[in-house]
Amino acid sequence: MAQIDRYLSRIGFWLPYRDRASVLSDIRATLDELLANRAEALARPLTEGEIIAELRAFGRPEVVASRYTHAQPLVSAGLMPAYLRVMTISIVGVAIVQLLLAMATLVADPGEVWAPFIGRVVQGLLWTFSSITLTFAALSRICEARGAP
Amino acid sequence: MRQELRRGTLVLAVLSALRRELCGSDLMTVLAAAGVLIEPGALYPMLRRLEDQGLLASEWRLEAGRKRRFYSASKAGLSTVEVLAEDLSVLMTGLAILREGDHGAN
Repeated sequence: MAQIDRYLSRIGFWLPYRDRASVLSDIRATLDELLANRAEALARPLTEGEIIAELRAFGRPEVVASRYTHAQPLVSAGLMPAYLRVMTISIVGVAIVQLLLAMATLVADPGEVWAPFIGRVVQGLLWTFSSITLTFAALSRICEARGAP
Repeated sequence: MRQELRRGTLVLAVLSALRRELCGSDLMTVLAAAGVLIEPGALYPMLRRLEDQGLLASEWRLEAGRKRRFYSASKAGLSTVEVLAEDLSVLMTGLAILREGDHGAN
């Protein structure tokens, strides 16, 4: 059934590689069973439109994929207040430091301030965001492994 | 908020229904008869998750010429039902006291 294959292929796109085959095989078996139940209830084979309606009722591919995966949030709820506080302090800190550096440069060479300043701020903010997020993601996994909230 | 409450109690409802072996469609019928409505798109992933957690077991069987998957709560699933049902009962008693407003607070 081409509709089911297309539907499963769309679900597969959102699934992590390691679970993909097993989850898709599970969903295919479930859909076969659901469609057979429906056909049995109607006492006739399903039309293409009815099959599509059943697939729609099962859920949008990305929603179905999320229901079948046990994706952990990047930062756990317990660490979120600390994450937000550290992120805010760091971002403000980076902005202040870069502003001071820009002012110092302005004094030394008034013609060459804004382009490097903007570049450094963007680079600094990206680096800060990435490193703090990765650190808290690692901490979340450590806490989870130790059973901490 | 209603969704959170529902999510927590659905597992209890599903495991309670699976104290006897049922196929997916019969499970939905049993749940619906008890006033617990759940879409297949939500039920089947939950069944898989509960099976991964060892709380239920499933088995494919041929019945009336059709392959069907039958689910039943495992030993761990049955103990979980007891624990969750007890917790819910304590919670409901506490909630009833709070709703009556007779909890001694000023």
